[in-house]
Amino acid sequence: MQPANQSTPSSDYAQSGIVKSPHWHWLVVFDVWLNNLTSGLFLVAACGELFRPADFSQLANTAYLIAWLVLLVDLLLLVLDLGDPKRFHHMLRVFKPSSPMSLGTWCLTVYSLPLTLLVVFQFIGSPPDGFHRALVIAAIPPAFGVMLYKGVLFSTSSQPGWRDARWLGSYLVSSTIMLGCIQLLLIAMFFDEPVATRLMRSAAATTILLNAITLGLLFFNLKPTLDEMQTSQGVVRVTWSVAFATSAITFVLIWQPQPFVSMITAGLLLAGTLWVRSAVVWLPHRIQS
Amino acid sequence: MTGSAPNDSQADRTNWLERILAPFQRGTPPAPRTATGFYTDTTVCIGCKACEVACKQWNQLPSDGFEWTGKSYDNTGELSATSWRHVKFVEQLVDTELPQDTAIVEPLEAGTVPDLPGRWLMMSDVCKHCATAPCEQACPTGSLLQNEFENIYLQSDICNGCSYCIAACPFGVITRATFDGHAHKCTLCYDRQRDDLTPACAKACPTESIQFGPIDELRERARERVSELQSLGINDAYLYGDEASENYSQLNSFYLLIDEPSAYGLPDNPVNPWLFMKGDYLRSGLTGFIAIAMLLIILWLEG
Repeated sequence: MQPANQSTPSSDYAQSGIVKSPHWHWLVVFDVWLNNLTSGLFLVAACGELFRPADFSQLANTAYLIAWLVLLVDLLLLVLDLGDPKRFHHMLRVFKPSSPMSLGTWCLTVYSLPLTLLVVFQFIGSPPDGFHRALVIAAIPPAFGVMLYKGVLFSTSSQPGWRDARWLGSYLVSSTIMLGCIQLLLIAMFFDEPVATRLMRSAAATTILLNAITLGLLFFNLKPTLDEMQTSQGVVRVTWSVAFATSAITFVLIWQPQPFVSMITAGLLLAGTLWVRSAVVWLPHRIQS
Repeated sequence: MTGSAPNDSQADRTNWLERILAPFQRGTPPAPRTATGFYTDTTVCIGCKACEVACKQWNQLPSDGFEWTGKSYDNTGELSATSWRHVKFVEQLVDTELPQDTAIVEPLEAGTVPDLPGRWLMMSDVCKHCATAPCEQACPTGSLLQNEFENIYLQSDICNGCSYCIAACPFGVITRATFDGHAHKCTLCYDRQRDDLTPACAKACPTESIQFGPIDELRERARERVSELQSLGINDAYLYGDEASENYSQLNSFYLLIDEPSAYGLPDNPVNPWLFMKGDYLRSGLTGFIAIAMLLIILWLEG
């Protein structure tokens, strides 16, 4: 009864993948992206309003409205992605910090409340300044949690690729702030606010650098997994090359003052971040196929 | 029908309200009972699939259809939301010619093992009911829990099909059903256990390959069996999951194997992904603080 060395491939379970992939596809790609867009825009706008109210107060109100609209779409995608969307409220049965998904759900819920009030007050009349400020401050910790949980949710799993991605959370967090800066830059340019535009240009350039560093760390985490992929290696390499090239190009373009160039830069960053999220979310599916 | 419309509408409203509120209602958790589990001795499994049939029958699981998988006689493929037991057939046949006259079989002395040109390994796979289960840690609804028998139980009336348990399980046990969108898996026949009955698969197993009972007794019995097999010259016999490793807890459904775990489609070194969660949160949080600090410095310096 010695183990045979030449086992028949057709019955070899070692050759087939052990773990099964969750049903997370395009809805989740856009969910991750929109999650980062809303939390990034809110956090950057809140920092601007709290630290430089003279330059950012008006812009912040527009930012909160956009962040709220993006959040609504994101929540809709989260519900639609469930196997049984009618049971979406079951997420609130328990508060379970050991589960990044539970923590994220509660952060999204708590974040949505002050953000909704901030938007409502824009339409029914401004609240006392202290109350407005309190709402902004109250929304910051849950918004930080919203930004934080997503990457940890993926890396705390048994899926090939994700399970090795120790820097995925850091990448998503740094790109969240970067996306927030770029969105607020566009808003500042739209309202022709020169000081805010200049500040957001510097902030965006700095966070593009930080984001390139975390992207590099994530790439090194994933490299062993990517090397094992045979069939779609070309696609994967193109994806990462494009992501790094986008970082380099946008870092140069972001300093150009022309609105048209800024629009192109923003477009590149938005498309690039969506592309990386798509590559990450589809990774286990690609490996197993 | 027209006359009953208002009542129907009221009933609909009541049902709707009940559906919203019912998941939040809590009963008293049952008192802990003796921890139970499965011990599967793969050396005596004959691949009859009685366990699969018994499981499907008792739990009223639908058929998966029939298709040739190309894997020996294993035509049910894998564990799924509708197959909570799955018998694997591992063919390990060397590329040598069989003897011409296969009808002549030399009688063996008692206690000796035939020297064959190959072998089939068979294993009845099931949820491992991990002592520290990643699926239970992942579940955001509290649908997955450790019940009073220390088995991992999935409350199908609570699950909303988020699929995080599927992503978390390192053994590929759980899947989401297409017919209701919920995850389903082995309950270790919770309903039968509550009535002091043996789970259907263990009851049906004709060779006692699947053994059910108090988990401590099973572990003791399994260790004795390993010693027995090794004394017979089967030195490859060992237990998979009876003890916690550095990266994974004990399994309350564990196995006696005679080849590498991967030969049976089991991970050689399962890792609980929750071991990395704190570090991942720390790295992410630190990055967030650095990014916001950089933003604040720019807002402050460029004033």
